[in-house]
Amino acid sequence: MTPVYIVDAHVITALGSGVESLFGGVAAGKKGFARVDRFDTSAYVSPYAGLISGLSFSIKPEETSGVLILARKLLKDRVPLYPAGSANSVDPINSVDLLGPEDSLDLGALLITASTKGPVDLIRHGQGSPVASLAGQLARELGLNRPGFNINAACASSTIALAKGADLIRRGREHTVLIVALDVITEFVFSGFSAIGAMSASPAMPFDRDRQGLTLGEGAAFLLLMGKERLEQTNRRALAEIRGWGIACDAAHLTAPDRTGSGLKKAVIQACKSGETSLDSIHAINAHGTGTRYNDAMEIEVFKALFNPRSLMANSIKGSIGHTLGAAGAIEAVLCTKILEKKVLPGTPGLSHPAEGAGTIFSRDNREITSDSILTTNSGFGGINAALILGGVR
Amino acid sequence: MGWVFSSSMGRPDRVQLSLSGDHFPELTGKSVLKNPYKPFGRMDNFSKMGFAAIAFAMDHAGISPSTTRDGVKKKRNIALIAGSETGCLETDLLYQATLSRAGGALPSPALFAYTLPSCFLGEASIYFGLTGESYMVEEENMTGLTPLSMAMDCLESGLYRAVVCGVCNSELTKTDSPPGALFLVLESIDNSDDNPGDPAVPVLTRSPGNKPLFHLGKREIKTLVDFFEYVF
Repeated sequence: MTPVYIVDAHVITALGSGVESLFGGVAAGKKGFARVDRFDTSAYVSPYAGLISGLSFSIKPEETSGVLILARKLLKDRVPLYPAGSANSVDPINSVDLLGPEDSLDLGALLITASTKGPVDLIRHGQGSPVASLAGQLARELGLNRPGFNINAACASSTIALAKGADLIRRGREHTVLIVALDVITEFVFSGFSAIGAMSASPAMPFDRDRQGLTLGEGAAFLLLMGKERLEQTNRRALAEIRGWGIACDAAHLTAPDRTGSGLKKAVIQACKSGETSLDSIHAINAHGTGTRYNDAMEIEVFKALFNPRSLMANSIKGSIGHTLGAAGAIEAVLCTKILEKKVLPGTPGLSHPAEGAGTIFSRDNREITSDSILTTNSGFGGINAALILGGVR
Repeated sequence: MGWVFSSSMGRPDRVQLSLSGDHFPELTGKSVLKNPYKPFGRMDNFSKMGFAAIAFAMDHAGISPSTTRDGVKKKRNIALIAGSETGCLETDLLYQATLSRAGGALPSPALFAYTLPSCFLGEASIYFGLTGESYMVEEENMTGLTPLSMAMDCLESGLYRAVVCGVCNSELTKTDSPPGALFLVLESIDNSDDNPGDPAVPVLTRSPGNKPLFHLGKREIKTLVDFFEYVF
């Protein structure tokens, strides 16, 4: 079985740029929420979201979409690869810096983006721009020789993009896959979550008995995946291994999870099989943990059913950066590489009084982990669930 | 196989495939579905097209809705993968119009759910009890071969015996792809000498190397629409 490695990664969230900011902020219990000033929020349940500092976009039709501005910032904002002064937010991105010269040639890296609504901010000007255009535009700016594609599966989009990218490498169909995941705060999405009653008036409190819903966030992450052979050819050092993955559908309800968690259970079991990992060896989980009543209850049900709660610790970071929708899985996967490196699972910001059944599994405190693997899961509208098992480099 | 285009909709043994026409047929639960499914009526047009094409394809493949006459819900380990170039752009514009009214105070929650283009896959999963992987693949200059390739990967993985895959594009498409939806039900077969299979069932094979990706018999498949036209 060809190992699949994460060889480079980067995130931008409401806690700042880089995985150190994310890990440090979550571990310190920071909340990156701010009042939204891009549009009038007076008609909505909450004025707050996890916003990226300094990200402003499109107020005129001819301007670039916010999601593309963020993508350019993400891919250029690599401290080791882009020294100060070299980044320019309007220049095309130079893929040679990111991927290495060989990956810019024919049969080079495959780009898979993951975004639920992509450039939907442009719709205010009466023009539609499909999400497909994001993958195409980014591939052109990176100088890739093929357009790539976007995976859209609601809030499990980037988890599935990572699973499919890893699967293509394990099967020998690709040697390098670049995953770019991102979603931004727009009135389009903000109003919808407010209207369907999923949004909390106060900052999200995942797995708390008093949780009232989610707080939206914006964010972006990229992960560069390679197979072992390619890793060795390029003399790169792996950050972590993607050991297993699973995807499954509840087939129960469009906008609410199956209360028994049938789809999530199936995805987790499949991830363990794919990674040749036993359920007993899973002791740390980065949960989806949106802060909505039904999602969190479903996850507690699944974790208690599959694992030994006495030796299990889990967390959610959405009380810190908000729910970043299609980008959530990739952002959390990048965080998991740091968790594996530091051997510390950050606490769950926003958690005060654990919900029934969550008490021993979830905590607001940071905890040491002893295992060299972590499970990370996401679920979304349409009843979709996805799970990844990430491990240290063996 | 099943499809919904502006000129025709249905399954190949009952209706002649035609890709172009003046206007889309009206899609109602009665005209499309074997069993009643209440949410069908409130779906957006994009979801109705995709859902209906999946329903025709499943009917053609002999796969019934998940709820049987005695009310038992059957679950099936079948994956569902759809490609699109436009996504649900038309629905996005409709939702934005509800948002623009009354200064953002009256967005439509019912419509918002369908501004996720993958939602019709969730609806089809509920109706047919499909518990396998399910997602939308969005790409420019779509040929339909990416979702087809991913479906073949699913079958080759051994995780699934059957996968539903296809494409769905809204009427706002500005591309060469016709607006509409078409879906296939792919099933893995053991095509050993002892089990030659039904000669009437088209056999799709993946070509070695990168291009072309697929063969149907001896013919190269360059787009998913080719596939349909060759079968006919």
